[in-house]
Amino acid sequence: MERSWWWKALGILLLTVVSVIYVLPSVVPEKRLPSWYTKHINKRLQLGLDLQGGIHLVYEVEVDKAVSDKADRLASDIEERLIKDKKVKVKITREGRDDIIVTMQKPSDLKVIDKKFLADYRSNLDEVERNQGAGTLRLRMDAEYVEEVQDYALRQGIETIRGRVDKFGVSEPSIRAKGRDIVVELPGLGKKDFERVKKIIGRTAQLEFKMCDDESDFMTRAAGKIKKGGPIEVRNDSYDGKQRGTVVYTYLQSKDKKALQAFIDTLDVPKTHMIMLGEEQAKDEKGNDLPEKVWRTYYVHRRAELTGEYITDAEVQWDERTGRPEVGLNFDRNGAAIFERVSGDHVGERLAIILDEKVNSAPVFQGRIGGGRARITLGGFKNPMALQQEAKDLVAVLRTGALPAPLRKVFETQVGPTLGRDAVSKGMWAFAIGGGLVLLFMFYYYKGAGFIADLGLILNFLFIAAILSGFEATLTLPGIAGLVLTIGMAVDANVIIYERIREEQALGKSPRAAVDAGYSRAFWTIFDAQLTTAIAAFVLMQYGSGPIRGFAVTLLVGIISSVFTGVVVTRLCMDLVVGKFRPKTLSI
Amino acid sequence: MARWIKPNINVDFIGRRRTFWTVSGLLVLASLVALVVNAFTRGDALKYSTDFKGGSEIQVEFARDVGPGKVRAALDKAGFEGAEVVRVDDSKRPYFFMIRLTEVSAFSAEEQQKVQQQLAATFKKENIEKFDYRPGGDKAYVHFKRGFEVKPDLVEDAFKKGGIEVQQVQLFGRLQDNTYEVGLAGLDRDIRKIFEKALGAGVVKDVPQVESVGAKMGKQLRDDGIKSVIYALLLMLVYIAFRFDFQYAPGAVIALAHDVIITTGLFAVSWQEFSLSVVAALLTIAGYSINDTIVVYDRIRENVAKMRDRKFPLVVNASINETLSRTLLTSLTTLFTCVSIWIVGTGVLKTFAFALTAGVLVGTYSSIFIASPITIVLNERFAKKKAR
Repeated sequence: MERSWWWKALGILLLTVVSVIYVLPSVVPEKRLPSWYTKHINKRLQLGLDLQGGIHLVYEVEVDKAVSDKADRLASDIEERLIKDKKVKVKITREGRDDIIVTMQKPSDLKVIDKKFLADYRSNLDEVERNQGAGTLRLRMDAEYVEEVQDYALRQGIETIRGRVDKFGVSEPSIRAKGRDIVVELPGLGKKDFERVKKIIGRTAQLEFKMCDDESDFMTRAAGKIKKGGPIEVRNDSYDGKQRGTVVYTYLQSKDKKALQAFIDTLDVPKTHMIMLGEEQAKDEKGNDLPEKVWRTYYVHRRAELTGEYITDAEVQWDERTGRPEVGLNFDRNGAAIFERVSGDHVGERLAIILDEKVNSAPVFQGRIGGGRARITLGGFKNPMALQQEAKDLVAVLRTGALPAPLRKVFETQVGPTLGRDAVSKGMWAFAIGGGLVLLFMFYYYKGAGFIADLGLILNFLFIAAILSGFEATLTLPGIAGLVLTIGMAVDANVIIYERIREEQALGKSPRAAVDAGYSRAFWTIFDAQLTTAIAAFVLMQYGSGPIRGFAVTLLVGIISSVFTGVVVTRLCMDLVVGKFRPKTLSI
Repeated sequence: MARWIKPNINVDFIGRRRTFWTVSGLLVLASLVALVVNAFTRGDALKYSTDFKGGSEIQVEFARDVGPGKVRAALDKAGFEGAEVVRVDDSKRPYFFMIRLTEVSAFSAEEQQKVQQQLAATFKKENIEKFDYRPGGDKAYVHFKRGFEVKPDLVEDAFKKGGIEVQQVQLFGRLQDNTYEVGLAGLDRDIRKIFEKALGAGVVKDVPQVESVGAKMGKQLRDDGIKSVIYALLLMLVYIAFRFDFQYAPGAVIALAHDVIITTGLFAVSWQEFSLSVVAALLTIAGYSINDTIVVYDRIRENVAKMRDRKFPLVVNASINETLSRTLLTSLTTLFTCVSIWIVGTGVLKTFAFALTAGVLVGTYSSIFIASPITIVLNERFAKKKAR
């Protein structure tokens, strides 16, 4: 044989060995394989939820938070319009979930909020109380609108979760609403993936900007109730408050978050305010860093000035001074306008940047900030690699959109296959019978050449299994559909070639010439036919999600492998037959 | 040597092309009509599964060990075909199942209307703001006007007069919303009865929850799917136009649409459950159809260069005949797998295999009788243009 034949044969042999190595963990139970083996190769084919069951997560969407946020935004909007268009001095506060309280500095200004002004909010807000003398007005979210917001939060929650789960690749999640809950079903994931999935799904990525109220003496009075020597410490801090002079304020800190929260829960915080917690690096009395982290309080206005909904883009960037990764944010036009006004109105005050109900940082506004950009620094206790991963995860979550409302886990459990074990075993049998029939038929119809095609088919099946195992693909019924088509069509390449060889033989060509002509003529036919199908598969993989994507992956893998085994592998065998044994007639 | 199709076979496929087009046209039309008729008489064009429609999720705890197979069989017998039965592995509740059914409203539209009439009679129409019921659930909500005083007993009476059994009536949400939740004794009772009848008395320990579930195939997922199919079709058209000639592309795509429509039509006529798996099968059929057609096209292209003295229709006919053996053999091998799944498989697998089998048959037919003859028509058009 020619030298190139041997190289090709060696290559195929190597591929076969590698494939067997990759397929083994999917076929043989883990316990029967030696530990050095599973240590290096532990990727296996996953069966989908419909075939083997998986993890069933139920989340309750805290729709009331979405309603409260909406009220915050309406409050900002009203404030913006009153100050800009009506040029009045006004204070707007929020109470509870639904209420917005407008307080005019000059009570007589209240008349600017007339029917015409409120007409824009007709479907959103109801006027419940107007006190002309005091210049206050209480607005409340409309009941029907509340329902609408809640429904939207649920729907948006589903789409956001789907976007996040799809980032995990080929697995086929099922995500659906159930009453006010969201049910997520994930086919048999490994334990390590499971933790990560839960973390990313549950991540609300809710970004809020709230002003700190450091002039109130509420915290100082609360600090009086702290016993010395307990888990909670009282601290004071100060900063340059510009025209307000040096601002000194009190806060509480503790290594024990629970103890801190428990204490806060005993306080009677005014309805318009709240106490939030944030994590930071501990410092000793002199202000030197200590190698541990502590939780501290921030006394903030309940109302959020700005939320993540105004973000258009997020990216990982590096702090020029420290070289540490941080997350840069861009606001849309409205968000930029609000941010500029807030920063201008509150020069010398601290803004709490709150991510997922946790204060990320609270910088002091040095002046008006235009341009609609902000950045989030990341916690300083991790190595740069971990920080960068954290920044990337945060950007991914911010880009797929924040959840409009936080999720609360209701339960997680393991469920059996939706298709039923009986159905699965029957399906596998059917698959085996069908495959066996194809093998037998090829051997009957094409004799020796058919046997070669059968060899190719078996190798094809092995390669597909190996590639899918290597990708840790999830095999579901739609995926099997792709495989059925592949197995049925895989022999197509050989049928095309063999029919061609028969034609060439009929023209009087020698076996060797017939084989050469058959393969070279049939190649472009096969190429065009398979490439057209591959285009379809590729597009489905790019745009489709969930089950459609899974189907496309198996189909694409199947096409590549079939062309290889159908054209290259069988050609090698045929060359061996005609080259080495030089038969007078071909067994075809 | 096994050879079922003689090498010198020469059937006149092209001469009868108008007959075949008429037959296909009628079949496509019949499929579309069946979809429309279903939409009017049955409410839906296809018998959509819970994947698309959502339905009810019922949790059932059994007192003793019953396999998922038996549970499914009991439901099938009671007319809830295609129910999704999922066993929950819960150490505290060993025989716990979740069952999903396509909409089985415990509370039909007629009954809802009756109850609403009764409510209006009891409380006066203007005092009732909204009557709320999510299909498949076991709870209804009555929103009264703010400040209107309501006695829960009267709500219960109104439901009873409307012929609906009520478990309890309670205030829902905030006091000022004045909304009452009415627990209906519906589906849970039916389910209990079905299992007691099929699996013996006392088999059901508890039915903790009946709730409506949304569709798996949400709006975005569906839109993505449709978009991807359109892009895929366009790209294939472009590729065929580029590799072959523009006159080939429409035939391939028409044949593909023909196959998918007729297979969908079969689902409309036989009223079999249309699930996500069937969608996967339809995509598979599309792939198969294109593949089959391209092989014939390839031969036409080759023969056009070789048989310069022959007219185009004759070249096409010769090409179809030459590739006939291959077309039929490939269909046969594909059918081996599809038919065996159809015969051996159960439930979803069966409908899935049914779709594939039908699609392969129609796809083979269309690549011989539809796709290639269409190129003749287009070729004539092109030839005329050139002649001018």
